[in-house]
Amino acid sequence: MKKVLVIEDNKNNMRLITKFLNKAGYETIEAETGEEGIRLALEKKPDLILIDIKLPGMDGLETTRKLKECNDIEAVPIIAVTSYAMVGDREQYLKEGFAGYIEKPLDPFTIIKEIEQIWKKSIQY
Amino acid sequence: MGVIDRDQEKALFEVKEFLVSIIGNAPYGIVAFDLEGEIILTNSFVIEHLGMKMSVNKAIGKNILDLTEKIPLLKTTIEKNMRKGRKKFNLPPLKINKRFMLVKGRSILNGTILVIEDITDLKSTEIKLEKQSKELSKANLKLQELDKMKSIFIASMSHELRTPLNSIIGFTGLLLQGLSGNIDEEAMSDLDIIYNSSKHLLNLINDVIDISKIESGKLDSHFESVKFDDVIEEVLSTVSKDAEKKDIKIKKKFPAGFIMVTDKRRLFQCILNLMSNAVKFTEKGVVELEVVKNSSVLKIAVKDTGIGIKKEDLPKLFKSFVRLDSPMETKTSGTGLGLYLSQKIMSSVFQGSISVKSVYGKGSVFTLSIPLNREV
Repeated sequence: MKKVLVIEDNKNNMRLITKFLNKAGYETIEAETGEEGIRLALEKKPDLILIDIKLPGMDGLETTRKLKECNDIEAVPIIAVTSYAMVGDREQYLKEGFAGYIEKPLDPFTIIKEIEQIWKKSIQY
Repeated sequence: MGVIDRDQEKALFEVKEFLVSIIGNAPYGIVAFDLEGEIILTNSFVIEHLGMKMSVNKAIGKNILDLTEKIPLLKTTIEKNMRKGRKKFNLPPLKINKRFMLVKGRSILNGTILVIEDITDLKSTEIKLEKQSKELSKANLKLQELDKMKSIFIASMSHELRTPLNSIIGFTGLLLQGLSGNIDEEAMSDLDIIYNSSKHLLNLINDVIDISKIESGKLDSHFESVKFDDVIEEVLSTVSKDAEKKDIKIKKKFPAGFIMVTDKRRLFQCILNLMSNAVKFTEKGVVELEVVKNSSVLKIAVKDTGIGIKKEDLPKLFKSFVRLDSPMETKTSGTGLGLYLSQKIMSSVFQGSISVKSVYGKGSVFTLSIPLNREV
């Protein structure tokens, strides 16, 4: 079973995303902060990471930068989950090392498709 | 030269008296003095306004330099002028006894004439204007600041509003897909209402965010290669449900396999706006999406057989928060932001335009025109 690490501080959002992923057949690992996310990433070696951009303390951008510096997990695709589009949008996200981004509010009917599409693309290249 | 007789002398005297009285009562100060500075002629204006404590008659024969002792700038200017024999001079406004005087000097045959003008009223108007203009620019700055605050407020408010919506939309969707267990049909249709209403609320919030971005000039756009078919399919799948409910047939005609460089999201937004309006304002009949492309422009026309728009209402269409009175008003929902937004997006993102033709009671055609200079 493929493992997805979800780094998200909002409990409702966490429950929502993990439920969708579990029902679609993925195992989920939950982290509430960037620090915890890095620790769990190193420990559990997930196949994909979903990360909220707005996190307390170390934010999603910084966490992603740090994750990309870790030897074992540099190749794991990271998808940003954000409720507001950053300036420069997609290119900006790609530049920051993300495989892509999904926007909140999540569309419950397409969320899994969106995640899998970005995932597939990131493996192709 | 002959000897003048008494009549002539009398006439000359009268002329002189006449001129003296004109000069004496002139609303300007006039003072003439010879090459040594001895005053030949002056008037009461000068005596009053330059603060000389004597009569006009007493002043005649006195030296101008002695009488301007208390106005150093005027005195030194006159002195310099006498020394160098300048033809004319103009002084900046002098403040004498709380009033502003403008003094101009001109050389005459054997001396100098000064003309003095009281510009106090002009000056005070000028000062008042200057003060007002300062106040205005201050107020203007404050307004700009307030406007910026308004945009920031709207942006952050909308962000906060979207967070709980994430849960409402997400969990309702979860339930609707049966991912939290079985739900009976009645509950399902109730959930459907929650889901649609929360999506509607999300659209309203997004519109408000877009408008605040447009008004603060920060509408983000990004261009990429886009399969036009994908955009159309996405629009059609979004509106088809509503169309089916109302017995509306959707027809489409567009060049297949066409790839363009565009802002996909904004293009989708504009076409969807026209299509959902067409479906919204048509009871039954046909909504037609027709796309025509030539080398320089892409025209996307949405034609409906709906209620149409009165001629006098056409100019109001693209204004923000305007919803036209219509027989369907109570039945249709909306903020009146859609067309306003579409028009703004067309001009600021695509350098394009939006136009409308309509016959009241018969239907309308809305057309987006997008220049194709970015095509690959």
